[in-house]
Amino acid sequence: MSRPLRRSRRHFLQAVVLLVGLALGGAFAVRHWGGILKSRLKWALTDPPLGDAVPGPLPDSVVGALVAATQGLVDTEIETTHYATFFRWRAETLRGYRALYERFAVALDRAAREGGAPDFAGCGLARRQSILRQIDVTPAGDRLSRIHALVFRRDSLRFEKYIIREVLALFSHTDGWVLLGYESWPGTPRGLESYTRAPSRG
Amino acid sequence: MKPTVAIVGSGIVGAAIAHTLSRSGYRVDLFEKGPEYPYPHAKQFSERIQFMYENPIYAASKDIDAVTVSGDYAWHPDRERFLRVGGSATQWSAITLRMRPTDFRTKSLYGYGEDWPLSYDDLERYYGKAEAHLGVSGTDVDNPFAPRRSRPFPLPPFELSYHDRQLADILRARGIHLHTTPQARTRLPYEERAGCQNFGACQFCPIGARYSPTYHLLGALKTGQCQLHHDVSVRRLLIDKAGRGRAVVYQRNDESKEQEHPADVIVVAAGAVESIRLLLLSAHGGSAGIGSAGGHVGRHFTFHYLSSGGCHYASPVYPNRFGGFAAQSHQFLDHPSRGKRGALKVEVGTQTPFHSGRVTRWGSQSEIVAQLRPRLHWRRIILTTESHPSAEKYVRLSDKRDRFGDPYAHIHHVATDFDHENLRFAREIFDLLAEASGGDERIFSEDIHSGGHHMGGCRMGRNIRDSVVDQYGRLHGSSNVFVTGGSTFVGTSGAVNPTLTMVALALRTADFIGDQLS
Repeated sequence: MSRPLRRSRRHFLQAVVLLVGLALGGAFAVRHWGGILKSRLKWALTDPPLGDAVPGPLPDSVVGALVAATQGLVDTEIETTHYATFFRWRAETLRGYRALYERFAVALDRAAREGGAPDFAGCGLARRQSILRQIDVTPAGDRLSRIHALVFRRDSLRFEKYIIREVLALFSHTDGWVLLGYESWPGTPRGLESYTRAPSRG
Repeated sequence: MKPTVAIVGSGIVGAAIAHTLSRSGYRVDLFEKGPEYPYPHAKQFSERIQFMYENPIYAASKDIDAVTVSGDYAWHPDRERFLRVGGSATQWSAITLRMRPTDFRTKSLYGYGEDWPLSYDDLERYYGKAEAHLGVSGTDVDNPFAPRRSRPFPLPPFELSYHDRQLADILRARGIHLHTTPQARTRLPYEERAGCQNFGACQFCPIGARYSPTYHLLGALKTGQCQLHHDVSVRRLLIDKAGRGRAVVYQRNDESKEQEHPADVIVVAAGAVESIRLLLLSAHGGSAGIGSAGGHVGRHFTFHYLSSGGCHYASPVYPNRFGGFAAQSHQFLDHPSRGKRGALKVEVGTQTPFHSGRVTRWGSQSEIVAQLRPRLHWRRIILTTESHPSAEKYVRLSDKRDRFGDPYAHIHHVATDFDHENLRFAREIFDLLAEASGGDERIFSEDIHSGGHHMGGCRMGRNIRDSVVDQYGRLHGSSNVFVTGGSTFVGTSGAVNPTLTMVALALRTADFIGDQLS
């Protein structure tokens, strides 16, 4: 057998050993860490990080868009000051929020202008909800739009997690109580008399 | 010059002792492993409640705040304590109950556990002092099961809520008695604390109405006799051959060099788990640690078991209108079958159970109301059951180490047959309450935890053969090293929340130290 042939056979055998080793190692890894790897991969694909853009003050126009979105999401008469305070605090305190809020406002305003309105805050409630439906990936069971968002609209996932879900959580533990007939929500000084009486707006 | 006192741990026990001794003119140095925690907790309230943000600066780093666990305890004890200035009681429920006289004598009366080396009567005066110290609101007038008291509560009680009164009426007809709950919330302004305004976010009370140890820490600091060292880990105690504590060895968490702090008296008040760990780390004449000549350090470590159920009613019960704790029943603390089963306490929760009624999908108002409405119809019922020590419940040093190279504490816990019987009893009482009150659906959570009630491990007793410390918390074999707090408990304080007893014992220890030093 010629020397080059022996060498190429040796290389071939080395490659086979390497491949078998990799396959065995891979199988071992999948068996032992498969769950973790899968969840990490899924997390990386479906849960894009907020980012670490520096915090800073929000322009009034962005706060206006966020508050208008809040009204669209909860479809309820609400006093909006504490939502505006919430958005401003997060933008000024936590990394990533200011930039995300600004991108959200840009997306909302762009959609509003495509419909002929000057901006999102200037739209009526029904139009705002229609725009939110275009942007949000929440609707239950809509797998296709979620997959589409995973590939083409990754910011939508951030909007859902860091804006829409947070607005709904804030609403749940504030105005949600009022909507159910409470005079005010936990977190406000309610005094020590009214809880001992029957609810007035039940 | 007045004698000096070093206290390890700035929680509710360390703060009480520091406050008492510094006001008596003793020089006190408090060592706290965790970070600062502003008081009143208005900033924390804003962050958590208004801005839904858990600020990591209030938590100790995980490489100094961890335990390892084995056995059958499903929760992780790391989730049940807060290492920070003021300790876990910066965020507690503030229920302040006295143990019953029988709880001190379970072995004699019921044949389980061990008797304490002191009686209810020995501690009664200090229960009164502890209630005054914490500003407890309460009454015994509506509670026929309350133990005797020599002085009234410092503040009037928080009334039952409208719907709790309705529930109490229904249950009374079935022979079950609900009553108000003594708690360290100010029903009226008290000392320098504002009266409760029912913010309902009591874990982060913004006005100091719910007691926080930082209130008394600030009082101690104001005397000019007390110094607080936070972000500092005490790594061991130095004890001489005669058993006399000489100094604490500490290290700033961000520094590489350890230092000695000499003191005339050393008090270990670092929470049950860390107190045990510190004694074990301070090995003196052997690997088992200080005070362990009798082999008791780390043994007899117990938890309460808190289980909770949710009960659904056809008519709304309007939870969450009051933030504190309104209704309880102490009827089962000394029930006729005690002995076969342990004590059991019932709390009617004011909070919405199991996160029911949250909005997770946006939509029309009617869709949103449909998501919210379930919260109106659920009532939470919490049951606390007694436990007692066994060979399968202990704390030892772990194989894993912290940033300084010191072993963490390792908790081993396996529930006994007695514990399982108590949990069955809890389920039985929950079903009874649900059925009697007309609940049409019920959930009983299997997610059982200790409620942060960690007890034993440095238990008190008459001598070194049966315990670690004496009834004043003084380490057997030492004249000037004390251990205080839940770690010195002999059992689980029946089924009542342990904190008032911890504070009563701490104030008693402080008086004892003051008498000794003077």
